[in-house]
Amino acid sequence: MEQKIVDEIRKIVDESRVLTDKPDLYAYGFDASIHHAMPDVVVRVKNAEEVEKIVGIANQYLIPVVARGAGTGLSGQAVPIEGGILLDMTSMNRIKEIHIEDLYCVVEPGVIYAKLNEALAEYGFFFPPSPGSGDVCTIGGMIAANASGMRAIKYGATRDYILGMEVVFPHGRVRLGSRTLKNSAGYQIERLMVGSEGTLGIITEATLRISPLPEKRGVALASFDDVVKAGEGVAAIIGSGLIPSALEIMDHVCIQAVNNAMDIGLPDVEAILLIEVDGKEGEVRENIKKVAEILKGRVKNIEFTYDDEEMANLWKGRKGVLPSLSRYGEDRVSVSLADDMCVPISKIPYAIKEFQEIAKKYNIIIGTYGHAGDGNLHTKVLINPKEEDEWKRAEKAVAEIYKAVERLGGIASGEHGIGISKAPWINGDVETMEMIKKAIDPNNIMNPGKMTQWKGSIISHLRYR
Amino acid sequence: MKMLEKYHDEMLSCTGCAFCKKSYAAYEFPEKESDYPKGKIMLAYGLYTKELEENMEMVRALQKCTLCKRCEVDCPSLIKITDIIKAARFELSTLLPEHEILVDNFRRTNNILGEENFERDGSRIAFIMGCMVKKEMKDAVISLFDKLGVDVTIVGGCCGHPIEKIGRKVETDIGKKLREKNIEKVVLSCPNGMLALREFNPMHITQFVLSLNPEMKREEKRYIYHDSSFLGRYLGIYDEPRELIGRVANLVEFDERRERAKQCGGEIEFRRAFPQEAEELAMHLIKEAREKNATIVTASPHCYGHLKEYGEVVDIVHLLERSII
Ligand SMILES: Cc1cc2nc3c(=O)[nH]c(=O)nc-3n(C[C@H](O)[C@H](O)[C@H](O)COP(=O)(O)OP(=O)(O)OC[C@H]3O[C@@H](n4cnc5c(N)ncnc54)[C@H](O)[C@@H]3O)c2cc1C
Ligand code: SF4
Repeated sequence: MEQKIVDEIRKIVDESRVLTDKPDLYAYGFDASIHHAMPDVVVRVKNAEEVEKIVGIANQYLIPVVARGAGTGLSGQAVPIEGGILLDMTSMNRIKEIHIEDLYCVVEPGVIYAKLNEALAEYGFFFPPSPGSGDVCTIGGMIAANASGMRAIKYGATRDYILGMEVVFPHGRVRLGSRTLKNSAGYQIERLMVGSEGTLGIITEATLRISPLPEKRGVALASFDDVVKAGEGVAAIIGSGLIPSALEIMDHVCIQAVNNAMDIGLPDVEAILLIEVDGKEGEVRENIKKVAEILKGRVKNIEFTYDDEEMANLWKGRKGVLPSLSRYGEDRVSVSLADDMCVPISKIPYAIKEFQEIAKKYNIIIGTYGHAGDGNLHTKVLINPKEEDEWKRAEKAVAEIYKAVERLGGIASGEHGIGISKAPWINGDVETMEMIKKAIDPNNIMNPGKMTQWKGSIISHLRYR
Repeated sequence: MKMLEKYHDEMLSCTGCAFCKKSYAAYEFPEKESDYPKGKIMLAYGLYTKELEENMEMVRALQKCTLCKRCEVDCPSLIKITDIIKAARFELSTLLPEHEILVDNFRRTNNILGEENFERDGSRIAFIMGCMVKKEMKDAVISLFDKLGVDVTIVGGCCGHPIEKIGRKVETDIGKKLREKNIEKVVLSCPNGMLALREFNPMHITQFVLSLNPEMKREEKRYIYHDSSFLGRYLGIYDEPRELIGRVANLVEFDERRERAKQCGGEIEFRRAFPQEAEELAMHLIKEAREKNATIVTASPHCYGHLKEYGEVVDIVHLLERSII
């Protein structure tokens, strides 16, 4: 990038927040995916005015602009593969307003999910999407990826809580949506921003709907000696009309990884389900009993707890699956590939079986876990990243996995997004998506090369040398 | 890249999840990606793969960490974050100017502060006076051993551990002296020294005092115990200081304690190079102690020397010295 452009940026943002030193550019080039690429400059923006001016410069000189939250994306969304300006949004971290009686809050995009919930908890409220990375990821990143988590089955995903937004598009700064709970006034462009992965504009403020915290929660831990039985258990629970607040599945590979890495002591079985119900005290106890009855005959063992600490411990195990898989052993580390497919709920056991067969065929290890209650599965591919051959086999296995997912009526991503790692398997009408992209970002400066634009192999821009 | 070679697989095992950023949420100072543990691992990896060349920016980034291990508590992949950072420091050819001074002091005076060391002959029980203990609490240590009725041998000089933490190997003569004096029991109040002298199975002063079970008087004061990262997360010593404080006064706890205790910024090599960040770390503890209406008790001269600059603090050596009857 030409020096004069950096100089112009330095006129907008003070020197200490414009980074051009190579170690800085290098460190900012990672997220939690398999990819890495360096930006030409990192700007640690503090407000919407700065964002607006920088996007203006980028549009004038036709330079890529990539927003970055906490860098926990799993598909390379925040990796600046075409260089350019990386906007570090984490300094825009103010919770600006909380309106309990109107059921909304207004935040800057760099607010950390857990911090927002800490503030809302003081009023007995919360922002429900609960991604596993919620202790570190930002609201901006969540909106851009339409993040959700284990509570989506009952509470929905980030998109279900978006009321309004301030966005900087290449043509300028605009306000979208409203502060009201309902809105039928024209195109819902704020919803279009959900899942846009920074390819349309930069979110500089978000107005989010909030929910009251449930009075009580209870968790059942059910162990199975066969993953198909666990899958059938999921379908039976959902089919009964009971809507749990979370319904998570972990297969044997994941159980073993968590037990190796963390001191939680999950049962050493083929699969487990973690079933959470919430609501009023009596209702919770009754529903947990109902779950136990539904699973009778299928389950090897079932335990339950209403103790906050014990529940937190179980969820810690679940949240730790993804990173713990990197401690599986045998020289293998967990890489983020084919990590987030979504299938119809009743198809879960068949999907898991197929993934296991594919793993066997390509001699790799695949751990499967995820939000069984809404059909959103996570698989983790374990390979030795130093072996080129393993990458090749993994790429073939991934392609087969997605084919199987398609056959089962599913899609490539339920919550982690497309980025680069899932680009070849993006669902929906690509042509319309490209028309929207062209209309909003005619110069293709917003996070270029991602989603519909990525055409190469997914084993590219690898972070592993 | 011999030092980092050992950690190649470890660096690859880091999933980049950024959970190690969690404990930083309370602070203002993490400014950019390389201020976080994940960023430092990535820099180490870049150095190892030669994608990055060493420069002053990188040296500062890799040194801007107390090695307190707090982030490791949150890492679900159990990555040896501090070992990687330390190994990367050993690969660096340049030191920060503030660190040059410490190394130079050590080489000239066998004391990183460049001060004169203190020694004394006595029985086969030795106390390592070290550089920080001598500066902060020499008289209290001598009086404490007198009150305990122990004719203690005092060995002076720096253990070299703060220098090792910044990525340089230095020879300390403490081990040689201990062998020459036929010492049977080694006692320290500095966790850095305990780590450097592991082969002698050292006791922390709190463990030593507890083993003698002296009579102590109580005072009706509220003391809040600050777990030193090195005494706690590195050496697993959490209970003994608490037991002793509980015997002589009312023990209050920080919200985050034991394995999750906040780092105070007191490690000498860190606060010399990053005084502003060290102050911010200290102020979080000072503020909480004030809110809880309690005086901080430290059990490491590094923590004491630093925290006392900002609020009311006693070291456990002082507390014991005045409590033992
Ligand atoms: C261990 C682990 C567990 C995870 N669990 C879940 C889970 O349960 N559910 C889930 O949904 N995800 C999960 N994720 C994925 C990831 O955490 C989420 O996608 C999260 O929302 C990303 O937020 P971030 O702040 O890290 O964004 P980043 O990774 O920094 O960025 C993600 C995308 O958002 C864009 N972006 C960021 N800020 C803005 C902005 N202000 N304006 C416009 N675009 C912006 C970026 O350009 C990029 O395209 C997990 C990740 C990890 C590592
Ligand atoms: S060091 Fe641990 S917590 Fe930090 S990014 Fe790597 S795996 Fe995640």
